[in-house]
Amino acid sequence: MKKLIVSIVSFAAVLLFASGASAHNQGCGLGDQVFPGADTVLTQLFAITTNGTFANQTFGITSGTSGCVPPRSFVFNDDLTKYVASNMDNIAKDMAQGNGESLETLAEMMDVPSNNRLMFNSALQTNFSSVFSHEGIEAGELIENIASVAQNHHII
Amino acid sequence: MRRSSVFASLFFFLGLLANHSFANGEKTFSPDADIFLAQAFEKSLHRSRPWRALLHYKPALIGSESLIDDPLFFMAQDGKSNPKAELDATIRGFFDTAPDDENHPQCRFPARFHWLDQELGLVGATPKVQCQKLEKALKDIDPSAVSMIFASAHINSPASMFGHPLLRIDSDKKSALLAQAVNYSAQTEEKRGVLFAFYGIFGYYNGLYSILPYYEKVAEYNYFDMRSLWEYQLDINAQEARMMIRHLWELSDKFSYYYFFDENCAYIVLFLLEAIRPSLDLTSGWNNYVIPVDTFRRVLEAGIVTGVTYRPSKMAKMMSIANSMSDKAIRKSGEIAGGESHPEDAIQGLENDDSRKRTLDLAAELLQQRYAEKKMEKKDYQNLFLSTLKLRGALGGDPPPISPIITPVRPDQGHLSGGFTLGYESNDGPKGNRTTFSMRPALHDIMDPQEGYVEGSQIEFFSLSFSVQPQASKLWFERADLVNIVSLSPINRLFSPISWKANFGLNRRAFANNDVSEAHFLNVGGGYTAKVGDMGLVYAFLEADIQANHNFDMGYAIGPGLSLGMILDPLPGWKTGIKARATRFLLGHEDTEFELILSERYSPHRNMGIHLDLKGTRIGEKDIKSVLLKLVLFM
Repeated sequence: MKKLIVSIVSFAAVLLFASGASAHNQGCGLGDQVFPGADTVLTQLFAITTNGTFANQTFGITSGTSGCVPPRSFVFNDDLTKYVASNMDNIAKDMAQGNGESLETLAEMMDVPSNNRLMFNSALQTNFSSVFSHEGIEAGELIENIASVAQNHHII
Repeated sequence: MRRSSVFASLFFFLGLLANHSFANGEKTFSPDADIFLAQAFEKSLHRSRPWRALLHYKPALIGSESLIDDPLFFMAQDGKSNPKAELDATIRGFFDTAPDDENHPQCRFPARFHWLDQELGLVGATPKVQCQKLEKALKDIDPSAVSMIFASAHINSPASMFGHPLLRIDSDKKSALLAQAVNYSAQTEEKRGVLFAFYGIFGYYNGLYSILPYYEKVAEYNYFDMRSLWEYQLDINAQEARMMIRHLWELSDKFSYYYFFDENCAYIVLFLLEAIRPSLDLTSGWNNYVIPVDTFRRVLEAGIVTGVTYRPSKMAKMMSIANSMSDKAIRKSGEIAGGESHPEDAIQGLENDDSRKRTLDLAAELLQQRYAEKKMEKKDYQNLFLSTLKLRGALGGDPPPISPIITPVRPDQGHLSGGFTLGYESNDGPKGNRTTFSMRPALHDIMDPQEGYVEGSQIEFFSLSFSVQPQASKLWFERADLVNIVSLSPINRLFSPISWKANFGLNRRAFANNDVSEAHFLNVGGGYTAKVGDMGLVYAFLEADIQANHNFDMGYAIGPGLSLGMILDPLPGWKTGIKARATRFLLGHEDTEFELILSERYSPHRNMGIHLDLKGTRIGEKDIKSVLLKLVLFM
């Protein structure tokens, strides 16, 4: 019996890795773009033969919409709403820090002239609280807020 | 035969001219496709390189066969194995007058149409078809170049160990994040377990292409998998990049059976490059397996790489912030991310604004990390993330200085994937002195040169060893490792990851009764690794060991084990390994085995290693000492 317990304990060393995996979240706000958490080492080991990637990746060459409410006032295209919905957390981080690739790409998509980009960044950093006005903010509303800050500062 | 077809095509050509001159107004007359079939045959288009590349034909036992398995990819019944029939059916299809535009063969196979039009001048002769969806995609993507992306391995993620290649269709009018990533992978429908691996190896899954914005792939690899991305810019022009979109259009939703070893993500990506530039030869001459990094070497050899960019993982970014922070400030970031103290309180005691900024920046990264690992609820995450960033935004100003991220050695610059070993072992046990040789198709032993590989990682598959005793004229099977993985992931200032290992195979070993015979074995372990300054790694593992052999009391032996070790690389080209291991068999057999190994490796060149291993083993009452000197060559 004692031997059995010791053996079980030694196998428990392996099972330490066990942790759950769950499905892909969907939505248009902060924290919605998180992919499934890390799988267990064991399931990953099996996944190695299939180049395991997140399921349901599609041939999105023509799909523009993300199912998120578009902004009402700003002249937009589907790609912008989709981009903001998919990158909101990183956009928020870049905006608070005053620079970053996600923010640069946003400026590009909103046609901010390149000599206004620094102004764009600093205006959004200063007005972070009013741009990300509430926790549940979604892509469309965020774009409107960004656009109104940019327009108030004569950036776009 | 040949002569008559010349006459035939001449005849049809004259016919075509005649038809054209008589065609009037809106009455469109579509001339018979036969004239173009004859022309195509004249030019041997069905045997030409571009046609073979577009259809993914490879030489088969008899004739040719396409690697695409979906019947919808072919216009002819026997198109998969008959390039000529497929070409004829395709040309005929382009003359089809009935179907609506989007389902017309011209829209379903736009790359073939584009190429055949260049060869035969189809536009004008064929019915005019509007492929609006494709035209929109071409306009939206506005392609101007193509890059090949390598998602490198992440140390504690076995599924990532070989790395993963993607293609990226770039537009010079857009930033990199908005480019389109092209990915090929098996569609697995969430099956898990041993069968999952089995299906992957033996082609039970369908492999499909997907295209999605590169930012989604960056999020997946850089942020959630903590893998760095290497972007190899290719010398591909806008015309060819447009051709790739047309070809992907043809491949949309068309499956191929996915085979882990050969018809895998890496190999298939090479077909796309050949399809858009048929003069490239990238898919021939491979063995029975294709390792992703080797496809990058092949593309480099082809001379079409114009530059390489490194996109560091989120982990590298977090470490670069942390490395410029005090212990106290790091602790504060952890408290914010753990919800233990409010961001405003946490940064109170910090000395200056730069320190406060870094603390909040790191806290934001850690919050994303904790949330991705499902350690916090969405509401709490949103709340803490936003209040951290609001504070950070209010601090404004320039970003704080942080320690630079050092670009590691490129994966293609590491030692080559296959290893061959020749050695001599002096052994005072029952196995005796032997000449040994071994080979492994992939990939990296922990003692091999580090450059281009993840530090502390070992990935070996299907490694085989034999030995000979010339005086006894005997050849022995020595050892087979189906899998031998070690992942030494050091504890750092932010995280305490678990290190682990798994080794499974067949080993010819000595027993206390002097017998030498093969034992099946499975050894797994988990533990921790720490860095010893810049000198290397030290680790401890708790293990479980299972072996099967007739010399064990019950035919098998199961028990726990403990191992301690160090891997040091004090000088360039040199590596020193020390490992001590004890295994206490309790089930099936009672015994304790000890092992002490000291290894020294010198590499005069990245593709060569000279190893000296000193090894002492105690099995029961028996002590065995051995010295092994071996030469490893990578090729």
